Amino acid sequence: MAAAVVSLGVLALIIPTLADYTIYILNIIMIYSILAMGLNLVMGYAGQISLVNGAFFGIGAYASTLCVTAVGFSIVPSMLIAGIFTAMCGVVIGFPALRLSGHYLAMATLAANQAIQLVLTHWHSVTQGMHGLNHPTVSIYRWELTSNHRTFWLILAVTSALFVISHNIVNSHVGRGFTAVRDSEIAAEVFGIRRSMYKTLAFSLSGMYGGVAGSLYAVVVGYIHPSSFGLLEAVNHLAMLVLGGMGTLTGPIFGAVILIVLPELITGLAGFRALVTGVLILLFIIFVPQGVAGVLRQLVETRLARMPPSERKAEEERP
Amino acid sequence: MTILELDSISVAFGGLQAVDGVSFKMAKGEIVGLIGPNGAGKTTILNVITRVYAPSNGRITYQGEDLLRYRPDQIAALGISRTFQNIEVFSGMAVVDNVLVGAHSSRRAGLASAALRLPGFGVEEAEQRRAALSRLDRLGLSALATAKARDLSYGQQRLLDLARALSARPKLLLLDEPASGFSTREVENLRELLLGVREEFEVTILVVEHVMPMVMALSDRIVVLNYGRRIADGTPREIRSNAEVIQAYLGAD
Repeated sequence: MAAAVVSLGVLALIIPTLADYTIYILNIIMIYSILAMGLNLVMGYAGQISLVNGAFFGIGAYASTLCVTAVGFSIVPSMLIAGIFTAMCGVVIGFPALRLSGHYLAMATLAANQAIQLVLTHWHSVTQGMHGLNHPTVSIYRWELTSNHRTFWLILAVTSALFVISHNIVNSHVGRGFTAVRDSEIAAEVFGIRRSMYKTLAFSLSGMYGGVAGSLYAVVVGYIHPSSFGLLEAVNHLAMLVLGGMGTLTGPIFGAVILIVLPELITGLAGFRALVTGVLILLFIIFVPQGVAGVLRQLVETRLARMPPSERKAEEERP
Repeated sequence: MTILELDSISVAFGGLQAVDGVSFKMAKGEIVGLIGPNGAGKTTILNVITRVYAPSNGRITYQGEDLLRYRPDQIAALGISRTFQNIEVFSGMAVVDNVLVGAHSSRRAGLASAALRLPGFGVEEAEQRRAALSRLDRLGLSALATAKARDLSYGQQRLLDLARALSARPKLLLLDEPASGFSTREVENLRELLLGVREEFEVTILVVEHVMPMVMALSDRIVVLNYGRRIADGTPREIRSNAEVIQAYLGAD
């Protein structure tokens, strides 16, 4: 708790001194962390292949933007509605997962992703099709989100809350239920874990995370377009998960940092961005399948193992 | 008092009659061995009791209730638990978490309670964790509590499988070849462990086993299957001298 207060204080001092573009990148990193956290729940923990994350992202962005522009809601209720709506979409899209697995599930979720992108593109009366939608400047009470610096605090709050929720779920009987379904469906069921319910729940949670991320994305970028939510997006989220560490709590954050910062570092090679990402994924799958978070955990564990037992106990009991 | 009764249970997979009109009863606290040559339908019987397979015919009564009314995921809450021939531990999870999953059906807390750590969640979680650790301690696995299940040796995984099943606080425990791959000495340890477990947890045990010395020494009663049919039901002494059983095993004419 004290550590959280101190880090908040330090952030409050540092953030105002950073350039607008740096803050923009930080905001985008947090938004993609949320996306990858959602994907991590369904894929990393529950073991269900999902290529529909880009669609959740898009539905959330459109739902939230329309709540703000067409209905006139403020941003926080709009974001909540977007999250609840995409959670319900997750239930529907999770339906094939009850019958399919492996490659077939990948194909089904891929098809759903494409279908939703087509809807966003062609449902002109609602989404304006290829014209896209503008997102007006919004405010929370009197706090107008006119700059990236101001939006930062909203996004930080939402990202932290969603991280805590994902941590709490993973470290509970619900999270163990997800992993049990991943590792042995037959044994999970024998111990009272209803497969269909847990798979649906995992898709629904990833939908909720995707929807909230979409809502924040619309606020930060100020303009949404169907092409921002296609298959490439879904693959990008997957890449973050692979690089960061699938089935680890902090993996999504590491993955988002790597895949957002990397293109900024190689702007000279703009045309090769996809190539660099692709090679990176290949290298990770072959040499570091546990991802960055997995490697860090191993380092900590070996350090613990080398310590004398008395110190080790103290270290493990630290909250 | 009868805890479980199978009444002319049949299971067919396509044209194959895996189990053909099998009936037997189990009294509370009894250890019943279920034996028979390969393909006799032993594991299928366990899968029918845990509702993995639906029988094409017959009835199962458990504690006076029709067991076939329940879904597979509801069986644990009724007090039926099992181990697996192929072990089926949750390989990517910590050992203690495996045991915690065993107790899943007794959880009262829901998703919101877990996600937001509402009051009551922590108490229940801590209580179950303590119980899980004591279960591991009983089976000599407590030093491995935080290891990943996949990093355990074969024998340790078998014990973990048993610890997880016991964690469900079963009244009826189904064991599918618990001694397979064990040395003579390990088999003897396992027999003692299971006899102790029966006393301590007041559990009725149905054990499918190929290791004959184990099943003869452990069981109060033995049911013998061959080609899906029950060919004998009696004490180990009776089974040993049963002509039909000897013929099934030795293939003598």
